[in-house]
Formats: sequence, structure tokens, C-alpha cells
Amino acid sequence: MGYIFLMVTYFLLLFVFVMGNIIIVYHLLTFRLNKNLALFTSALLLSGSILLLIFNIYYFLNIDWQEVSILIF
Amino acid sequence: MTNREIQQYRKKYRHYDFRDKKKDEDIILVLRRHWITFIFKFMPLVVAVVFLVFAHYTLADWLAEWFFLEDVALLRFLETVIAMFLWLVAFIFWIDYYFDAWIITNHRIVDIEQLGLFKRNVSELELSKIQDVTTEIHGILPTVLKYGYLYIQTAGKKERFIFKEIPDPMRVRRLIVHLQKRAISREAQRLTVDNKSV
Repeated sequence: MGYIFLMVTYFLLLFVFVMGNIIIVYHLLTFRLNKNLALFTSALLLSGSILLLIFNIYYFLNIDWQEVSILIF
Repeated sequence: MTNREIQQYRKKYRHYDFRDKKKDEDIILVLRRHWITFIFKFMPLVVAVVFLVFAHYTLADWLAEWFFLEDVALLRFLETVIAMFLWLVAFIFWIDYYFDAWIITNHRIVDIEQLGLFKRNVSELELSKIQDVTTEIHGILPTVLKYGYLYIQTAGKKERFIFKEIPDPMRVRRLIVHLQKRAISREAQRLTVDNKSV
């Protein structure tokens, strides 16, 4: 049960993060006051997010979540 | 404020664009809050990042020992989760700062106020409807860095336009007054032509 709770929480967290990225990029590209700056900021946000996501998934896969769920619950 | 200065402004913002911009409309000035206000807002985030880096190098081993963890993967994982959300919050702060803008064109003033991610108020004011322009610089830091408030009294629906913490409000006031005079004379000319044609 604890394991399922942890997994659901993690995927919700990922969903919020991805949606946050999409909303911010949408804002940046539709406001279009300065197109070049909007493109640069969007690229910066997405590249940073992808990098952090890679690290996050790498550590996620390296953790024994069954053990963690026993430790927490 | 001379016409030459206005031409220079126009040149600077010729690549700028915004929604509902009219064909014969030129952007003369785009204003945002002074950069120091962004720094103040950003400060807690910088402190959080410094703490995260500090925790990464010093606290991780200690915490692993404290919670009887065999390796620090879980802590590294939590660090990346925190970093991901700090990264998002940084850009939300940026949007809040960057989208709070006042655009002065040769016809009107557009006031865009971004409140969080999902609320944006946009109001506009014809230059010829301006009644009074007042500036206010209050405090030590605003005096040293030359930023403050500019209030525009109007005859329109929204009675008062407030430019918050903008850099060099005196210069902006001079520009607005100059543009207002031009707009009024243009309006008078148009009315004269209309009367003659009738």
C-alpha cells in the first residue's frame, strides 16, 4: 500500500512539473513582446528542466522503493 | 523631450510587438519594475539554492547515517525534486516580473498586470484622455537608484493608472506629457478637418 502511495505521489509530482513547464512556455510564447527573449527563456527553461528530469529519473530508478516504503510506513 | 529622442525610443522598440497592436501604432517605450525589485523577490530562492548546495556537500552523509540509509540515492532523489520545483518557481517569478509591463505607444498607454500564472489584467488609456501626471520617489533606495511610482489621472473608466516602481519616473513623466500634447493637437486637427468637411 505504501509503495503504491509513493508511486502515485511521484507520478503526480512529475505531472505537475511537466504541466508547469508547458504553461510557462505557453505564456512566454504567446505574450510575444520580445520574440527573441521569449524563445531564449523558453529554451533555457526546457533545457534545465530536461536535465533535472534526467537526474531525477536516474536516482528514481536507483532506489529500492519497496524498502523505502517499509522504512517510511 | 525632443522628437529626436522619441525617434530613438521608436528605433529601440521597433522589434517589439504585443496583442491588439494597431497597424499605425509605434511602441515608444516599454517599462517594467526596476530590476532591484526583482532581485528582492528572487532572494529567498537564491537562499534556498545555496542551502540545497550546502546540503548536497555536507548534510547528505550525515542524514544517510541518521536515517540508516545504505546509500544516499534517496537523498539525491529528494534534492533533484526540490531543484526541479525551485527551477519552476524561478521562472514563475520571472513571468510575474516580465509580464507586469506598461507599454507607451504614440496613441495610448497599455497597462498589463500579471497576477500569478492564470490572471492577467490589461487596461489601456488614450493619450488624449490624460488629465494629470504625478511622480513619487519615496525612500533611500528608490532615491539612490532613481525608481518610483508614476500616477496618471484620467477622464476614462479607470480613473487612475499606476506605474509601480519604474526606473526614472521623471523622464517617463516628461515623455508622457510630450506625447499627450501631440495627441491633443492631432485630435484638434482632426476635429477641424471634420468640421470643414461638414
